[in-house]
Amino acid sequence: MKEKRAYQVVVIGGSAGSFPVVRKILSTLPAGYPLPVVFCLHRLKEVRHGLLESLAYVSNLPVEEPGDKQRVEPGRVYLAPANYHLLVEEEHTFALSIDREINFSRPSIDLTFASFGHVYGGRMLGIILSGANVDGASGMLQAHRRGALAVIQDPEEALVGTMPRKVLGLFQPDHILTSDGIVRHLLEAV
Amino acid sequence: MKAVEVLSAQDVNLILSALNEASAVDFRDYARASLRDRIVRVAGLHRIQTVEEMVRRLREGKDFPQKMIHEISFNTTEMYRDPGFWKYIRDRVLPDLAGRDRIRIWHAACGTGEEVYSLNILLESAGLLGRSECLATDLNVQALALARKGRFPVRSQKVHELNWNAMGMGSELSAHHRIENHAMVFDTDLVRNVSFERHDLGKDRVPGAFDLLLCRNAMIYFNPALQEKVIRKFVEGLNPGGYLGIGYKESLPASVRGRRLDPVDPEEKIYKIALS
Repeated sequence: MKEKRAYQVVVIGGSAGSFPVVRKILSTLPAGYPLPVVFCLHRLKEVRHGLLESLAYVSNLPVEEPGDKQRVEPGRVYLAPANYHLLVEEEHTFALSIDREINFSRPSIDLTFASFGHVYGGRMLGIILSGANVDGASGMLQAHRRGALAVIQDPEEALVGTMPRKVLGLFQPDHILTSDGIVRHLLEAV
Repeated sequence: MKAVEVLSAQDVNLILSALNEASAVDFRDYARASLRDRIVRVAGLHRIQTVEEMVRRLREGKDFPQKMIHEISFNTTEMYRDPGFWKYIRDRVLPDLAGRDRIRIWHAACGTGEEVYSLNILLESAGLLGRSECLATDLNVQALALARKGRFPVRSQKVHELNWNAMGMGSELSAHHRIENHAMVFDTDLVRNVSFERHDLGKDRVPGAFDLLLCRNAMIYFNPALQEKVIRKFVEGLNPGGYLGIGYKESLPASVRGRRLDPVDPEEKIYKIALS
């Protein structure tokens, strides 16, 4: 089913096992894809370089780790920087925080999803991918309550199904898709 | 009755105005995304379910306003967070400042003080502790009290040690502290040259002239207007040849960028004020 909502942002959370899906998404979305795509991935806090470079290498869209107060812009891919929480302001600028870890994570997917859900509501397309941690499920629920579209990677396909299963445990998402299905959905959503 | 979880911008304004009236502490120019989360956390801690109830408790006065201030302004960080930053301080900044008779240092928004102890260990290693005068300020008086005591929770010991080990100091961090009652306790003699004082970056004047000013990952909690105001104060408060260090993912607003501030380590966000 095609949902031709006027999305303004795609927010994707992932942890263990999500990397291949992230690469698939980035290598398939075409240059000129009209939405901002925000990734909140669990990552080693002391590793500053490497992840961004490996994603940029396969991506058709420019990839960056946003600085505090940087604008969220269409056609760009953003990766939550290590050891910060990534939030968003009503003015559509990124907001960083170094508050305590949530679900042992900083960046916490819960905080990113809740923040983007609060600001973008029904204009947010949220996707939870593979992961061994439950971080993200409650944030996805909060975003969904604000009207965001909730998509999870099929737990059977995910390398580690814990994170998408936790979402299923909280509510029925709008779509449960394989990684190919996720990519198709993103292409059809614009 | 409006539930706290669905706070709108207007609700936040109402709450912050009530807090300002009750306490003369004004958070209205703080960045709203993180502040919202903190307000919701305060509500949870105090079992407040509606905006109206929170405003009422603020207007009642008593100890709730101070408790709220404490919760929304309490900041903690890691010792040697971003070891690359601290290596630059150790290897380039301190040797450059070593020629001065007195080295005046300001830790602005020091929170619970991790960076104060981090820097003082480096000063001590460089034989500069005796010549340094440090001012460590924060809005949160409980955080300052903790900073004065030099006690950090043992649950954060691992992260402090990981950062310390990345510094390549050739010793263990544990050589500088003992463990007591689930805390890492640093000798308060290490901070004998530090004055811990309450200071409101938005309201109060620059408390002197400094050779090194650290304010890392505090201005992320300010809105752009407040951040700009505070950075201008910092520029005024720095001696010629003095250094400013901010957080890795922070940046200087366009209006002050380049204005006498030379990015000596653009990656680690360390800037130097022109000598003349």
